[in-house]
Amino acid sequence: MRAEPILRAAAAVTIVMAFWHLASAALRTYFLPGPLDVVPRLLALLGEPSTWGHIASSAARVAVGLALGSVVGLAMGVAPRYLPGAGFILEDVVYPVLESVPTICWALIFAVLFGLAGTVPTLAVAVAVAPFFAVNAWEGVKELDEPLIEMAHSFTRSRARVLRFVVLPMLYPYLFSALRSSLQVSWKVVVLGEVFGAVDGIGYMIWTAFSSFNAPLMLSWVLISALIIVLSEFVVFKYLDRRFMRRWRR
Amino acid sequence: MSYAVEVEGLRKSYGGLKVLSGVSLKVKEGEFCCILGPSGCGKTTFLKVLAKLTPFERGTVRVLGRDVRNDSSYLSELALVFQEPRLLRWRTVRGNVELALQLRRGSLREGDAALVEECLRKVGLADWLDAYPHELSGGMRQRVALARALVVKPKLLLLDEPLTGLDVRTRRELQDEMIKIWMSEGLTVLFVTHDPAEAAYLAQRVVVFSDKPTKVKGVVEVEAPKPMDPSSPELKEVEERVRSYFYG
Repeated sequence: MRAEPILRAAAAVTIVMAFWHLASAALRTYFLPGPLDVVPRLLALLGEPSTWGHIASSAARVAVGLALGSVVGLAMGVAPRYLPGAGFILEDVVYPVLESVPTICWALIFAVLFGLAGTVPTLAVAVAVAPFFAVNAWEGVKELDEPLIEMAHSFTRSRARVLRFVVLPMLYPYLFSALRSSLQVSWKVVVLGEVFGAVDGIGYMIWTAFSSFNAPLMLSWVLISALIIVLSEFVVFKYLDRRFMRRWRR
Repeated sequence: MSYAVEVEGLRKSYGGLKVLSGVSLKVKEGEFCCILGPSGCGKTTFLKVLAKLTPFERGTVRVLGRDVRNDSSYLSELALVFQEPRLLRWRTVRGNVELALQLRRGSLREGDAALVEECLRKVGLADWLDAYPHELSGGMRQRVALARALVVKPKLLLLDEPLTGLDVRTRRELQDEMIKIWMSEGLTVLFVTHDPAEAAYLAQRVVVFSDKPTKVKGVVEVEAPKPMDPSSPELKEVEERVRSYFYG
């Protein structure tokens, strides 16, 4: 029963590797080394303690950026329920601005404002993911089960308690879906932001390897980034979904 | 004589539609009172006014000695059970009952677990603490809703057609349980129904509402002690009197 997903994953990896190997062999260029050159370099890289330091730096930026973006996005998404007119501002002002400006532009703006202090990728993640949380939360707010909220109000007049114990839990499936989309985006944005807005992290190392024309090293870091995204989706989210979210769908 | 509910000349409309038109009634402390009326006559609205879930235009409403317009303190001594159980599907039976305490006090305290278990035992669900709502029958879900109301130790329990949609046997079991709980807890119960037989079986006093715009059509006092024998001539006689007001 458990063998099927493992076989599927193995087949997918084999196909990617084969395609990569063929492409590298056909192009015969130093700038696209094949998996036989890159994978040993990757394994060596994973044995170096400094690698894990860079991964930790990127992961910390993802975590802080996600936390910031999710809180801001959630607040924006829930606000229309309590503040008249907030729905218009969210749909017609905030969301179009956040969505229409490319993430790289946000990263550049933050780089100009804050320099290379390492906050650039974090803020870029926050700006990139806030709309996911805002829109998903607001979709959830529109679908709230009003009789349940009325039941909650029959026990308390405190809106804060109803929000905490009933409204927010009702939004969990929507926030989970936002988190799922956001996590992948966050890693991509962090790597991009670190290219020109940090002095450590995966993106910074990709940039350093690129600047020194070390293609196997650069691709090794790209693979690390890709592996983290794939693992977060197939291991972390599948687990969370199985462990917690199913009871929301009953 | 002290009253748990005193309503005088209550008027309530939804938009232009007049629902309650000068309703007046009193419920004595410790009484089991049924409000009987046709579907859509405003029985639920009446309970929502008492629970301060909806405003009203005119009249005086006093609950547990306090005027609902300018004193909400009575709400901590009142609990409402809705027609549908309204359970959180992601919480267990225990979690759903705990919810009432969390909403009322902000957090759980020491001893709450025992209190929750005691309430669930009273409604016959002691073995279902860790079950989720989807694993329960309709009657069991309504028992959870009843336990959720009881856990906050209300002085006044409002029940809004809580047995609608249940099969005859489950209804009778729950009716008996409600009488038992009312007798053991010393609560005042205000039970809304559209079933004359149910009202006659449960109540010490049946207040019959008219169709919209709603007024009190009549009151039937039930002298016989509770619980009544379902096949007794007294119950048949009470049912007849209730029916005569209801259909008259």
